[in-house]
Amino acid sequence: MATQLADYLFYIVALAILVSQAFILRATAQGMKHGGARAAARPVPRRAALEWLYAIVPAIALVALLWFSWKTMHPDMIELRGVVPPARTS
Amino acid sequence: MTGPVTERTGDLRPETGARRSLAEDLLALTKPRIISLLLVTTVMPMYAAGSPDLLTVLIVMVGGYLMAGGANAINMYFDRDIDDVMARTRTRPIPSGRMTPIAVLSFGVASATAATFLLGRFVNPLTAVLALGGFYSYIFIYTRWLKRSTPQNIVLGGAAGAFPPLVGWAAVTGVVDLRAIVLFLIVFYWTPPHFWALALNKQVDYGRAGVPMAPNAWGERATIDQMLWYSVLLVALSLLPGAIGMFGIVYLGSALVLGAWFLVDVARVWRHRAGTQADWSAPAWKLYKFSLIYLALLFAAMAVDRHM
Repeated sequence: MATQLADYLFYIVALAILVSQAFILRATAQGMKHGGARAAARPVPRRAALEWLYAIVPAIALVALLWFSWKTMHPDMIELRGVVPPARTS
Repeated sequence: MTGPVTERTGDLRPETGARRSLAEDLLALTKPRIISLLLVTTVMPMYAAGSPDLLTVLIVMVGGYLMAGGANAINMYFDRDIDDVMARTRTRPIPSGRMTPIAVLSFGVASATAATFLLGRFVNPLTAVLALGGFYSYIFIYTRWLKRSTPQNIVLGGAAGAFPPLVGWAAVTGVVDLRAIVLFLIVFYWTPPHFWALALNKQVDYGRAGVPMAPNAWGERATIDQMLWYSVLLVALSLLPGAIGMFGIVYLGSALVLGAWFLVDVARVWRHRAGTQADWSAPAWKLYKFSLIYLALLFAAMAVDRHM
């Protein structure tokens, strides 16, 4: 696939992933609120911090995936930043 | 709620209690229908990664079956208390009294041990380690830790079912790289909409067993919202292999068509999220069935694309 086309596809994919992940976190919050209201009928104790952890860990994995995917698509850009020597002053 | 679904599909109906042979019971312990999809997501990545010889493919299939079957048997050992109260699991070998718990546990351990030997000796050690990773995460992370403690049990717990692509990829390449991780995450993000579509129709069973599935704990509306966004994420993620040059136009076209179909099906459920069970029950069941076909065809498209 042509590089520019691949870039566009990557940006669309990244945007869709980030937006849907944000909505997933929002829906998780709503679900927890709803679950709290039903808590009296639930045998499982509500552990909000853990619930957030379960929701956030996959989100972090996705951000890492996007970063490494972009790095794979543009290895030259990443390497150049490290190897370009500083400009001489003399 | 279980009734209409059972009558309509026929495949989740409790059995009549007819006697079964030991071989049939051992086969039932492995949950062969579930494993068939796991094998698709194991073997297709092998062909997506390269051109494996037939013997390696056969060994990976047998090893994968034994490992997943062992995990399923041990899952039945740990869940024997709740299997007895759920209609769809009541006829399993332990709750029906046809096998003792210790026999089931022994079968599961023996099966996984044989799988580890097969994969480690005849494929490569990494493949065996990854298959064991799936085995342990299913038993300890999903069954023992998450299943009865959080409505997000099948989110993180879904990682267990996402190991097969890693196993298949490692069997051919000997490594786990970014491409293998992308396949892992595709299965990982496919799991919530797939499983919650089933859970929506099985709330009574899960509620009776005290398993806090999302529809029971969060309510249907919040669950269906999550299903929609997980599906959008899944479809976007399925296009990533095209962007990073992993597959070409055949895969990308297939992912787009299958993804659009998946989104249409989940939208049909979402449209009725504020309605009653009578509104979303049938679309949710349709989504559940299609999600199985979706994953199989998506992974088949990877293999086809690689060899065209």
